[in-house]
Amino acid sequence: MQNTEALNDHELMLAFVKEQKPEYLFRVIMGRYKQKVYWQIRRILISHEDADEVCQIVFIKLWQNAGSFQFNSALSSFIYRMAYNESMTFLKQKSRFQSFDEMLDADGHYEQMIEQGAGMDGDQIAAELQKALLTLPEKQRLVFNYKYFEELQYNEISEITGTSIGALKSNYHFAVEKIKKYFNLD
Amino acid sequence: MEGMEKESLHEQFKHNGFKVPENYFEALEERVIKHLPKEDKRRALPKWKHWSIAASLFIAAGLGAFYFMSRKDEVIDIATASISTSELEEYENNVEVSDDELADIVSLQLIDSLYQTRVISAKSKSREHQKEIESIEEEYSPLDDVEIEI
Repeated sequence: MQNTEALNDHELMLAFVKEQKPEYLFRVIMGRYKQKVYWQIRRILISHEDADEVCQIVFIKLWQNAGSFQFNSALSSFIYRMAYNESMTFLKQKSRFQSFDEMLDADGHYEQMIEQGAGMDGDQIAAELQKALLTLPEKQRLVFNYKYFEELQYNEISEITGTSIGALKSNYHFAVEKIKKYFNLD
Repeated sequence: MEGMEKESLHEQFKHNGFKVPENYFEALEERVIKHLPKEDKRRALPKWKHWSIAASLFIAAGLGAFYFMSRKDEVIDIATASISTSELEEYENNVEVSDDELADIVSLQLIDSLYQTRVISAKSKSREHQKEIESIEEEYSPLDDVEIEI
C-alpha cells in the first residue's frame, strides 16, 4: 500500500478507478471530503437527519460514478456538484408542490428549530446568522452559504450550481444587503 | 500557537452552531462503506476471460456480418416476411369479411396506391408538374369521403 495521503486528488481517483475501486482508497477520498460535503448539504437542508441521508447518497453515488470522473476538472467540483444536485432532488421530493421558501415560511419550523437550540450548539451570533439566512430567498441563501462558509470562488459555485457568474454575484450582493438589514448594520 | 487557536475558533464559527452527533463522521464513513452496492464490490474477471469474451464477440460479429453480406441479393417479400403462415391462417379463421367487402377494400387500396405512385412520380419530375398533381388530386378527391365499414 503506497502512502495514500501524499497523493493529490487526481492521482487518488486514478488509482481508485484503476485498482477496481478498493475500499481503502475510497476511505481516503471520503476522509478528505466527508466533512465539507456534509456541511454543504446541512446548510441547504438545515436538519441533520436530512443532511445525513443525502450525504450517504452522495458518497454511494460517488462510488458508482467514479468511472465517469473527468480528469480535466477538480474532484472537489465533481463531488460538490453531486452534493448540490442530490440536495435539490431531496428538496423537490420533500416539498412536492411547495418551493423551499414556502416550506420555510409554512410554520416557522426551521426557525423554531434554530431558536430552541435543537441541532445548534448555542453560539448566539451563529444562530442569529442562520435565522437571518432563513429569511433569504433560496438562491441568495445558497450563494451566501457557498461563498461565505465554504469560501468558494464564483467560478466554482457556477460549476456546482449551473448558474451564471453574473447571477451569482448579484444574488450574493442582495444576500449581504439583506443580512446587513437584518442586523441593522446599514 | 495563537494562530492555531484563531483558526480553530474560525472553523468553529464556520460550522455556524449546527450540532452534529458525537463521532458522526466516523460512523458516516462506516455506514457508507456498508451500503456500497454489492455488484460493484465483486472481484474483477481475470485477464484471460476478458480476452476470451472479446474474441467470442468478435467472431460472432464477423459471422453476423458475413451472413448479412451473403443474403444481400435475396429479394425479401416485405408484406409477408414478418408474418408466419400459422399467424395468417389464424387471422383468416377469425375474421369474417364478405367477398363484396373484400373487393371494396382491395379496389380502394389499389386506387389509393395508384394515386400515390402517380403523385410521387409527378412531384419528382419538377415544379412544372404542379398542375398535373392538382388535377390528379382533383380526380381522386372523392376518395376522401369514402368510408369503409367492416
